[in-house]
Amino acid sequence: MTKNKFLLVSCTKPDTPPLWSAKIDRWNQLDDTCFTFCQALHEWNYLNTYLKPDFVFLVLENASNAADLDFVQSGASSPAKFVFTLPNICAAVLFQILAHSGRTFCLSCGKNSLALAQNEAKKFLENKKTSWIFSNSIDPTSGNRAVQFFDFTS
Amino acid sequence: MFIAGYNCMTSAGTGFENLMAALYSGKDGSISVNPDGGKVCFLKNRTLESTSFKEEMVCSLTALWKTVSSQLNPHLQKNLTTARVGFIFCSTKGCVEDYVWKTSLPFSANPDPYSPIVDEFIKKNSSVSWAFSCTISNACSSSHIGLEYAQEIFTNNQLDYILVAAADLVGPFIYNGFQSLKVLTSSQNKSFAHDRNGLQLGDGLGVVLLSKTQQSGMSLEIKCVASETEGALITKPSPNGDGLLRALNRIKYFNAHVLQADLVIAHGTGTLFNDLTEDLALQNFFSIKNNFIPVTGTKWCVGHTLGASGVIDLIAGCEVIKNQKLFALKNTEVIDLNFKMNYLTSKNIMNFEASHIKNIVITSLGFGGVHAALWLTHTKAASL
Repeated sequence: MTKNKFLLVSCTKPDTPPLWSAKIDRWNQLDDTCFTFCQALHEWNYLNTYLKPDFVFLVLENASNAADLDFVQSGASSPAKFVFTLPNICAAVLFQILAHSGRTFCLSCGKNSLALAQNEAKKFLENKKTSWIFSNSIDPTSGNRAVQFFDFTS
Repeated sequence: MFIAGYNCMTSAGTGFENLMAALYSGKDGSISVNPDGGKVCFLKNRTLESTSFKEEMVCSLTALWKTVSSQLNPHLQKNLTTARVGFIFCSTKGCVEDYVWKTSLPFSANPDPYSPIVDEFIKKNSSVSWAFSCTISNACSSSHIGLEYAQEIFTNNQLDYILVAAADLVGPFIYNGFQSLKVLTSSQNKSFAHDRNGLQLGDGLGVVLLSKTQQSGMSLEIKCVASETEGALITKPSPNGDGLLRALNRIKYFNAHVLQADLVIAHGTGTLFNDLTEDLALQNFFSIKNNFIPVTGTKWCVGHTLGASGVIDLIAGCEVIKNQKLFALKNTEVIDLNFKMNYLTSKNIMNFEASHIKNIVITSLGFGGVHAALWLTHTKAASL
């Protein structure tokens, strides 16, 4: 039985450092995807009651399209923006805030990305391999980010 | 998992034969892109401003796959039409160039840039019974992670064969991004040298067909591949090399087998921090007793092919085992005095006999603190 979490998070960054800011280098440079992951994990108490998994699936429905456009539209010269154009950068940020390290698959399959990851995580669990899924996508109604977590450790 | 076939395309030309000819002869395929620095190893007839990256990737990967599939034995060719076959595409940013400069749509209206390439490839190669497809994008370790994913799929008994296809082509997005990070060399890529000053980028595409079980004619095996993403720094590996060391330790033992490496094909980007971290991790892994093991790399020749670099290095490793012939880090003359591993240069390569290269370690480091290591071995050919 998986334990899931879902949170809609505004991308608007606060004027003052968030409560989790000490855990992340240069928190104010985070792109929207990473920022909203950090906000959600803080809300979820850093998942500290959950068993650490063998694998992490990272699912970004639109890959790093937002960061790609941000880099290009700001003149394609900002190193701080360029680093977030790699989808797996989110894993580094997630692991910083969770004080975790391990094996990560940054999976994409268009609109089916999350369904694919869930299916894969189930098959992994059938073979006694535990995993977590982190998903981040845009919520079309509110414009906020929909952050989801799925636990496949038991 | 066993290697049924492979091929690649780099600045050295189409086909692994051209890659190996360039590595053995010491041909650096890079050209200067602008006077301020920045060298790129382009595929033939490509420039930074080339158009239609998607089409180029799909057509080139299809052409590579056709050469691989045409050389498979008839039994295996037939198998691919009925067995459970997967397709894993490994890439970083080469796919975004087509639309990212001119789109007027919001980012959420654009699909992820990888899936159209996967869909098109599968459509063009419909004679294979594809049962699964996805993209893995874990920065410059994408190839290794794609292979690691294939390994897990096989152990779960989900598929019988997997085609791992890796591709990145250098366009203005990638070039400007790396330029902004100030990691591009303006002279030569000199991995592990005392005077190294950065990397050179490169176009690269490669395909590797993997089989869950050994079959007739298959003698190359990926014994184990493992990765580690560390939550340290975003653009640099942890300075003590712990992440790569953890990945290396995961491939040290496989079932009853203990890794006894004969060669390392290192990631060796030629940047100050990456090479330092990699040397530290390799020193700690092999210990002083074993630091005589030769270490080489491919990026001085074909550039850093980003998401494809692991597959290109894997193919080079397969050919070293077949040919029993080593290649050096040609542009590297004097090794960094702080480094302890035994790097192959044009001067010292004569001292190494290459008559017993059986086990090769291939390493990878990527942005986002992702590290990976792969154990490639030659195994007795099955005559089934």
